Amino acid sequence: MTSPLLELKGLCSTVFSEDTDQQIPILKGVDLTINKGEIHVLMGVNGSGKSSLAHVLMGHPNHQITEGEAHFDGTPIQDMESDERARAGMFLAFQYPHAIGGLPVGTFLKAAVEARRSEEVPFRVFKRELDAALEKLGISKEFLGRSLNEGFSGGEKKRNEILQMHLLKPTLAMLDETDSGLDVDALKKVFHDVREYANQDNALLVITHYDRVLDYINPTHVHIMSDGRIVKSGGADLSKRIDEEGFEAVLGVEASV
Amino acid sequence: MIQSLQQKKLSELNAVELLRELKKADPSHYVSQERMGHVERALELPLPGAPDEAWRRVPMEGLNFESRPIVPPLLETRLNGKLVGAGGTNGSGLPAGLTVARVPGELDGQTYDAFKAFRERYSLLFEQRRRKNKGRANDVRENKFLSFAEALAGDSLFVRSESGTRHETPLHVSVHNTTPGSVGPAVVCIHVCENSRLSLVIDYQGTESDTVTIPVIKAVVGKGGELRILRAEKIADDSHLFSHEFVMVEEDAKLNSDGVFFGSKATMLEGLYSLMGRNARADVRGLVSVRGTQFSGQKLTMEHNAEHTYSDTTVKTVLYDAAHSLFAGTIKIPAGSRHSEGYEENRNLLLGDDAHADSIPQLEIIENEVKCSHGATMTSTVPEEVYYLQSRGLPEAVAERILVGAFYREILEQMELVKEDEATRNFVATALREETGLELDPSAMV
Amino acid sequence: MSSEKTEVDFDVADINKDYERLYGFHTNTDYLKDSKKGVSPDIIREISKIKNEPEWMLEFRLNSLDIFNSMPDPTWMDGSVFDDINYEDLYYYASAGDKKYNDWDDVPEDIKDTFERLGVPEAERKFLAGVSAQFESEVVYHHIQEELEKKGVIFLDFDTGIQKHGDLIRKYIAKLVPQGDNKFAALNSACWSGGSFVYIPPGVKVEIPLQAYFRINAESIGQFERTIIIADKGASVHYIEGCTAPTYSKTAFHTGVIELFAEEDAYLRYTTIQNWSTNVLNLVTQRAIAKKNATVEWMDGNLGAKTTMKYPAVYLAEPGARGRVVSIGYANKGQRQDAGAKMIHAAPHTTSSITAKSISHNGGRSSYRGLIKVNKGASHVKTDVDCDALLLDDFSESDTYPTIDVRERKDVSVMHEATVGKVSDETIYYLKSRGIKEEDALLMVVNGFIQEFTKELPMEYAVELNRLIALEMEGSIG
Repeated sequence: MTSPLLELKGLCSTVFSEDTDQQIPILKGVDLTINKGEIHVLMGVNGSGKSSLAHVLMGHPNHQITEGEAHFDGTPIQDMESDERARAGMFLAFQYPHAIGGLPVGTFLKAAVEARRSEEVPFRVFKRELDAALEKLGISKEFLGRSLNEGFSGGEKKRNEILQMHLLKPTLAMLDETDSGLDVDALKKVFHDVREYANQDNALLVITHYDRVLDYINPTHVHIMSDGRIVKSGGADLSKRIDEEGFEAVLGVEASV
Repeated sequence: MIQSLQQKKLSELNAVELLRELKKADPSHYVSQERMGHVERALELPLPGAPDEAWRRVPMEGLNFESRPIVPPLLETRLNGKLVGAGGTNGSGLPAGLTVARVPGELDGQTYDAFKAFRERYSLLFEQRRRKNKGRANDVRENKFLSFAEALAGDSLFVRSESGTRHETPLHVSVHNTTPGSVGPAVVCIHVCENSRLSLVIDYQGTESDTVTIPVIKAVVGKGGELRILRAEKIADDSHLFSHEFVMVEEDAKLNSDGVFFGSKATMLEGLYSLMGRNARADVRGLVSVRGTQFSGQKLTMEHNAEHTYSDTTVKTVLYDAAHSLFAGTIKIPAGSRHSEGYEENRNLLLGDDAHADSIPQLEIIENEVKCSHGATMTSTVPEEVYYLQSRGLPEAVAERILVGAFYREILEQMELVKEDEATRNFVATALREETGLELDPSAMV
Repeated sequence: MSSEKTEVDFDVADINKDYERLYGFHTNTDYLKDSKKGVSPDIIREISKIKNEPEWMLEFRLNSLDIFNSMPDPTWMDGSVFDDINYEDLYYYASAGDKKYNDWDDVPEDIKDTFERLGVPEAERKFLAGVSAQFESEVVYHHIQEELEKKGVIFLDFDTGIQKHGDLIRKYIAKLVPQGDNKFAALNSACWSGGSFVYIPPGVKVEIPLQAYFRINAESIGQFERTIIIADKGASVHYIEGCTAPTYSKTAFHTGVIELFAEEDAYLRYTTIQNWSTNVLNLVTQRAIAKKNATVEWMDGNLGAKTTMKYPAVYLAEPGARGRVVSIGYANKGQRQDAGAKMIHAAPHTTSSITAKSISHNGGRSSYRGLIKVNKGASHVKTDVDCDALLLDDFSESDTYPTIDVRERKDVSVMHEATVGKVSDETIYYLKSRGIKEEDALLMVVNGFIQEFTKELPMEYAVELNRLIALEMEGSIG
């Protein structure tokens, strides 16, 4: 009951590189605790390991936990497949969602919702929920007939990810650079929908390179990542400092390594 | 020695008699097992044709192949326009690390060892490949012309670049059948040793009427090496060129093979490029321009025999009048060659009212960790493009010429040796003007 | 041929075991006791006599037999494919009785049982215009909606067609697939039995698909169905042929000849989903002609069979003609799907498109073999070919052998594209991250891959096809 939603202790990981056939160390001891009702923002320069952390947590086949512990809802996730983690309530909005030709969005959403709930959802029930979600997010129904992410614009892909989040109702939603590649209007819209989703029974981990998302959501925690570690944590004010002084100034020497 | 037999009898015997003569010879003396195999195949095989999907489209009428006298073609090597290397000037004018020799005629101790190293590496690999190949029904590997050249070529030319040496200025090898009515077999062996870079232009050029030239190019590109090769063909309208190329590309090595072909009664290139080691890469580009009733064909096979290999084949063809072209390209990725990428593209521009283009882009894939695609298009100039240029004030005929010129230039610009070698540039510009009336400023190709 | 023998064969066929369990079955039949193996002029005469055929048909058959005997195997395919065929060991004619049934209640129980397991009656009642099911070589059940009959639509088994509309058939037979076109077409011309004869009068639009359900149900039976479909001026029809076959250990043989005629302004679609058991050699010649402004579409699904060789063709004979082929092939263990399409542009202002999707799995081999030909004079032609291959493991095979032959330049556009690849790990991971199990994720991607085909099918068929694919892929996650 009292266990945190997500608890990482000294998490280390490697990623397999197909070009060199080698395991490359990425995470070098990440400590992080997220409780329900919290909104965490994870910042850091490119290559600091932010996105890798998200994929390690979601169970990407090329990422491997080598040391440390990762618990979700009190359960160790290391040996769980991605789909098991998703069914347990984890969700990752991909930075680059994959396109699958010939798989209509609607068909995919129904399958995912049924998987998450581990039960068949009658078509009528599903349709009611879907229509509500589409209306709430202002997405046209025509969208459902298109192939998953195929030929989608950057904004459409991101909104599709957020739509999935709303339907799958994860307890931990991780957003991997969902703000990247969006113009101001789209950014406003998407993060409005993200804010709508947050409540006392779930938590968000928002991964971003820029602090502009902070204009749209109010984080309870801000972390800065560098070279595979969380090197600084604080409240919303931390991101303001980064905005004004830059990563290097805030972190001192560490960030410039 | 074999060449003495040839020299004595060449003028008196026709091909079949000569081959029979060779067959009687004691193989342990001067004819290797491999060569004996070729002698037998040269005698027994029919002219290439069906069921091979490519060769069955090659016109063979009036070839009278077996009744022609055999005359070895002129084999000359030039560097910066000056005769160098084999043929009496052995060793002269050649930069350090580059060997050009006649084999077996000019084999001294050192070149003998070098040639032996090439042969051992090459024969082994090649025979292995040939046997291993499953041979789909429509791809016939044995070829009368190939065996004929291997069996009857006089001195082969042997070009070798030593390990670590780099040769940016292209060595020109000219294969030139100067005797009308004859058939000229020739073999050129190329060994690019480890971490060496060799640039080579092979000229198939001549104005002699009714010749048949059958060159065989065999090359090994050693580990980390690079072979840049360009073939430039322009022979008489009533002559024939049936060429074969086999290139092995070893680990981390690169092949950059370009070709410019202007057609003849029948010009046919059969190329087999074998990527033998990790990170081996082959880029093959071709420009084919045919007019009148000319034929020009290319049968190119790319074999990915190792992991992480890459190949890209692009052939562009322009057809005027009643010309006929053939592109038959195959990418083979056998099991185990994971993470390989093979691409193939064939674009045909049909400008002649009676032109006829055949395109057979094939894939044979037995490995799923691959990226592989091919594409082929056949079009005349696109009316919208012509219209676009017209809307900018250009007359239709000018617009057409601009578009055709752009089609040529696009591929020529990718050919490194065309860009770097002035002689080749001039050759292409002259040939284009003579054959198609198109003025392409040589300096624009740089 | 006794029924005990075929019972034994159930266990022998290990390669077919899964098939057996999944959808294979066998119904006892004793109708083969009077039939003879092998093919000879005598047997041909006998078949023709039993069928009470006109003299010209007997001559057609005998002439075809001569052609067959003088023809070699095709050379463009490795000969090993044909090694399994022993022409002397095949039954060329088997009849389940001399009666045809117009009412479901009249069909014998064992045959009915076969249909029950195939689910034909439901499908028929629901939406099919008529069912012409070929059980063995003889059409035993035939029904056509009265409405169609009133409109003058002819939908008959080929034998009845010969009896009732002999002159019409004589005008069309072998016009597109001459007897000597290939060895198997010659054999079919000599020994054909069964198949459909369809004629749609001018201007008649048949709104619901006509369907025939084919089955092979006896060991070593060569099934030689012959089908002619004529859509007269301005007519429109969709014909569906589906095949399943029970399992046997000896090589069964299916060589059909299908000829489609689309007259001016007509629309003709032929859909086939073949799911032969994995011992069947399936060598079919399918050819169509499209006249002025006519459209012919082949929807061609190939699952099952040991070897399939099938290249539906459209001869675009007059201006405005359109041809289209959408095909899928699924080559599982020990199977070879050699399929493709041919488009012959013989007239200006003609268009065609080919979409071929193949899936290779468990060491299966799929090939695309196709031809695009643009004849001299056929200007203003547009043709697109798209071949995509999916390899589900690293020891299956995929070949692509397209041939493009163009002899006209005026406003001719020929595009050919092909890709080969696997299902990317990233894609599977993306789906898994949404809670979907790996095997379901893979199936989703495969179904998406062939969606261009399934979306063209009537709903019931699309569902059944997806189910068959799911069965084929069972246990594909190691």
